[in-house]
Amino acid sequence: MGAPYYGAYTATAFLAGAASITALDDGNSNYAAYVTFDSAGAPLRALLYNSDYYSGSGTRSAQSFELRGLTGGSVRAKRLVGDSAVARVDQGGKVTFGGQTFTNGDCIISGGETFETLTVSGGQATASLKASEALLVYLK
Amino acid sequence: MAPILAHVVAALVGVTSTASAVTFTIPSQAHTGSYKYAPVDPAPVGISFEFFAFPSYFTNVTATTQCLSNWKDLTGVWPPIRIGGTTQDRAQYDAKTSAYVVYSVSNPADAPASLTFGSSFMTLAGKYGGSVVVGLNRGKNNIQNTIDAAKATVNGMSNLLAIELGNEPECRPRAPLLKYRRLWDIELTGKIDYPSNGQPIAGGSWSPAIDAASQNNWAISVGSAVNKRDIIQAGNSNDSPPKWGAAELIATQNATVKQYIHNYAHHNYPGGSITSLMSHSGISRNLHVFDADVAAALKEGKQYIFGETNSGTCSSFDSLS
Repeated sequence: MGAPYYGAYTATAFLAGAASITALDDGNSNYAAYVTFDSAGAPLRALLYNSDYYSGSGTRSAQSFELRGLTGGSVRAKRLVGDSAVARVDQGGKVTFGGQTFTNGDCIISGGETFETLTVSGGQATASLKASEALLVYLK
Repeated sequence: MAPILAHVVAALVGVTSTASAVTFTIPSQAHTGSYKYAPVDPAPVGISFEFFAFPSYFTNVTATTQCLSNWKDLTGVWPPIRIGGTTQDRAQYDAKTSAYVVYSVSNPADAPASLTFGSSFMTLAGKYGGSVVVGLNRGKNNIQNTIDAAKATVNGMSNLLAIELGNEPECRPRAPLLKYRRLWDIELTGKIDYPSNGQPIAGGSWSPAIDAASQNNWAISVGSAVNKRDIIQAGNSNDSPPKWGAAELIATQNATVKQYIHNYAHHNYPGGSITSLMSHSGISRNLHVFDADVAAALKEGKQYIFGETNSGTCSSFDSLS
């Protein structure tokens, strides 16, 4: 399945069941943070995105994202990552969301769903996103 | 010493960290602070299927329903779909055919220059578990045929969200992009849609004002013929606002027209390189182009959607998507 499907799936996973959304960044950099809220107005999920382009060769830069205003001791997250910004699964490239792929030809989800855990301390957590990577953080 | 060593080590493993973190504070409650909030639809992401290829996608391509079902598993709702595009303005309704679509092409990867479709097209669309927008023909200027198709659409589909009357009335191929073709691209035979020597409806002069008058007349004619209010997905332009878009269209609409309008749609293909297309600042800049159109539609109490959006089209690049 094409890489755009992975992006659209991640966006849908971020928006699912949400009642409202806001952008936490001002849109002027390559680093995005969006948050959705449930029908009671409680934070539901955050989507972090490092839109720096990575060609697949040379060093792959990384950006630290610090989230504040969190509750609890930890939050889970799923990562959208590919070999590069131009990775094409139908041409043998690798793209995964939460460690899973959509099988070429039938679009069935395969692989074990993998969550990362971010430690929350004093309401803060830090995640490192490589260039051309996104992280979906589950806030409840 | 230690920080320098850490930096050297980081360089050796091929990762460099940007000096400082970007920091974001999550509001504890929606609609607080200085952020702008927007409501989220239960199924906010959908898929558009090129008109002539729709039946094949749903009867011959196994992945189609599974790909849509994967999103349904996330949201609990089947994603909305839209059936339309360049070939909607090349299609003629034929109530007598039992086929979904009838056309001939010399190369299987080509889009047809003309085609007919039968009522089974709408029956198939009516089986889909989510909502459907169906795009019908305005380019050929055969309003009676479009009315016949609209009646079959309304009668055959309980999941119908809206009907489009015409696709990208202003779209024309840009010469440098004609090197590439995809399955549903405009045939490279010199034909262009709507303007100039393209579609019959644009045979004379054509402009946003002339198109708006045409859209409005057709909305009233088709809406009243099928006896439905809130039935038309209006706009469907590709060129950017303010020249083409919801605001300029709404400015021409009276109350009679507006009662037939369900929502406004625009197509958004920013074009460019992958670097620029994926850039968050580029995306933000691109989306703000539509601020006034979104506001104009919301002021009418109507939704505003991207009826099509991707990287590049109106003859796009194979290397983009």
